Amino acid sequence: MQRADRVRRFLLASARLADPEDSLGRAARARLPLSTGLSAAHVSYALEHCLEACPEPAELQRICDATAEASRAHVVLSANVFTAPLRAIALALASSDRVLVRPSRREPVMAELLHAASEGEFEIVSAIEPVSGDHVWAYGADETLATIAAQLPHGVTYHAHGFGFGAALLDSAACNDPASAARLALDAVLFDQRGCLSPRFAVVHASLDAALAFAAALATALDAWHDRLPLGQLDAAEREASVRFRETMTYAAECCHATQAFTIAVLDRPERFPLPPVGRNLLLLATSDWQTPLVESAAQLTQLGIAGEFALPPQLAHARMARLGDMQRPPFDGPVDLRTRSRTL
Amino acid sequence: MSFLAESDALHARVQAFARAGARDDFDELALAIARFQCRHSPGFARLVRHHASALDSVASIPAVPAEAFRLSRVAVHTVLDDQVRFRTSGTSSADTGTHAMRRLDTYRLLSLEFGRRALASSLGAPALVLALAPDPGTPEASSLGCMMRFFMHEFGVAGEHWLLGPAGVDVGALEAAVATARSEGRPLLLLATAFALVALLDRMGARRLSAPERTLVMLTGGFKGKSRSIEPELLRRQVAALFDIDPARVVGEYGMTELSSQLYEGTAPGAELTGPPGVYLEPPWLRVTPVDPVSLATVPEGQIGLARFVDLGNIDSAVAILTEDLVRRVGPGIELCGRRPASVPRGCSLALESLLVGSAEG
Repeated sequence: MQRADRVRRFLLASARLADPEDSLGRAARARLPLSTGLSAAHVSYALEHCLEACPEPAELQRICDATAEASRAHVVLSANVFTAPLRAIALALASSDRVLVRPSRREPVMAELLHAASEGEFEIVSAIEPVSGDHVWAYGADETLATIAAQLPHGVTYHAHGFGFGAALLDSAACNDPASAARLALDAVLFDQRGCLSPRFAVVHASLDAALAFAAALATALDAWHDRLPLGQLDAAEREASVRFRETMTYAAECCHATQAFTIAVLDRPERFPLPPVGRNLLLLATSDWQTPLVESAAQLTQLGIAGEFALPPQLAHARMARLGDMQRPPFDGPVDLRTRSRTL
Repeated sequence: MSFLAESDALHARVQAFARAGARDDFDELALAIARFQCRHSPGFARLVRHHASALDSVASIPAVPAEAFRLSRVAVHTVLDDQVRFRTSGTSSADTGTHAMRRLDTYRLLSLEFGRRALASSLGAPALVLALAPDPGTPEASSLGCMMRFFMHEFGVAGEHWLLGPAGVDVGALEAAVATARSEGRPLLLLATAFALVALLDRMGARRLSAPERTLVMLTGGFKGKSRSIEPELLRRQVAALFDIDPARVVGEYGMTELSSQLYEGTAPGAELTGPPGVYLEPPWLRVTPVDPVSLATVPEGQIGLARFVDLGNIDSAVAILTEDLVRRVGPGIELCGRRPASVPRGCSLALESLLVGSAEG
């Protein structure tokens, strides 16, 4: 079977999960809230809006042409974004007809559902055992990726997908548009900021007053989204970090909108800023120097959501660009993280 | 009463309290400072409003996270009134913060009062005071260096001795100082950070220093990645062996730039401050409470929590500070239980899962 056909068949089969009337769609809605900690409404919304759709044949062929063929492809999945295994496995299928997937222990359900939907297009394994000539795609913390790399045998090609996060960049016109706030709120709400595409801070190229008004609109939008897609369960460290962020920003920020579900804070021309913790926490940086905070974060910046006209510096060339509201729906054009580093050991 | 007069009056009350002659009450004084800060610090006022605090008990005073010192100015006064600006340490310049003080005399008094009870009262005579630390300059940017200077001038003789420079520990100067102290029959008081002591141990190798009687070593701080790290008790034993002194004479001190007060172990023989090793004792003008990191409420007796300090010395900054240090109340003091584990960076991260190649499922 052609590689493109293999990937297409997998993507089309996986679309069953988006259908709430399909038996697998029902199973996904029953099981994923427990394994992900996300609310049931959140899981359902993400299945219907964030699963990769099958691209046009020509696009799919381009993806396959850009993916090196391998005798076997191994995938080590992470747990943070439950829909992410779809793309990860699809890319591995573009590489090989023998794909072995090591699911996350915390969230093994999505891999199982995809396995069932695709009727065994890939194998689920408890540990990967690659040999020379195989490709390994791993998604995880930088330390974990380094540990895996150290244990891979000579001749394996390693595609490491590490820590990253998203950010947003807005001009003053966007600040004055409540729709921008609603779209950015959705980008932050989805997956409770656990993904590398999720915005953690926004650079507001506008006056402090405009940033303060935008923060208020964002808080309103997050409240509304919380009604529809309630905040999921955070683990102990995440809860602690969220409280810490709220307390710190209540003191240090120009303004801070904090509820049980989110914290939005505005810093005025900050010399430094912390990365807000996952959950639903956003930092707005009001500054005329919009490039500096982005360039300083460039190494870990996976995606930039943009509202306005900006000539971006070359340091951001590796980051995905998206419209606000579309940050969790990247086109199926390759790895979600374009910084992915590949090397043959 | 003007802002400055109000601040000065609080300084006077705290200084009188520290001299132990006053009849002031810790709770009343803490609340008076908190209400003063609420009137003059917009950030603190926001915290008070957020917690709907009536500022009617010490427990109701919202604690300012130590990180706030890195992100904003934590002071009720303007920069024009800064007498000193202590810089917090950090792993990079971007991590550092500032604790600005309008009056240094209160910091000096508090440092000396409790330093005397924990250390100097054990020495029995004016000591030769040495610091395994760099000269902090003037005005001091390091609160620890500033305190060491106070100790040199108040508890010591023969000026200042800073034995850590760009080339590392000045072992020759240390050996000469030890010899001088022995010949003069003076005790030695060595003030040192843990990482400086490790550097000294590395430089000394198998050599030993025969310190005079009643010598004390004040050991403070962690390692912050500046040297190899050693378990605290092992470090204490090795330092005691190096100077040929009883391990009880290696006295732990706990302080941080965001505070104006320090805690000590009460192990120095003959000192006014007494307590078991590993237990850090608060001065009367400082109170430490372990709190739950989420609810911020006091944890049950004996449980570990984040250290929440109420420091009467922080009159012009933040009277209540929330740190990331974990502590447990043990008898008369607190036990240091390390730092709060860093939040796992998330974003396509595997967190703490084990997925090593070929590893078994746990």
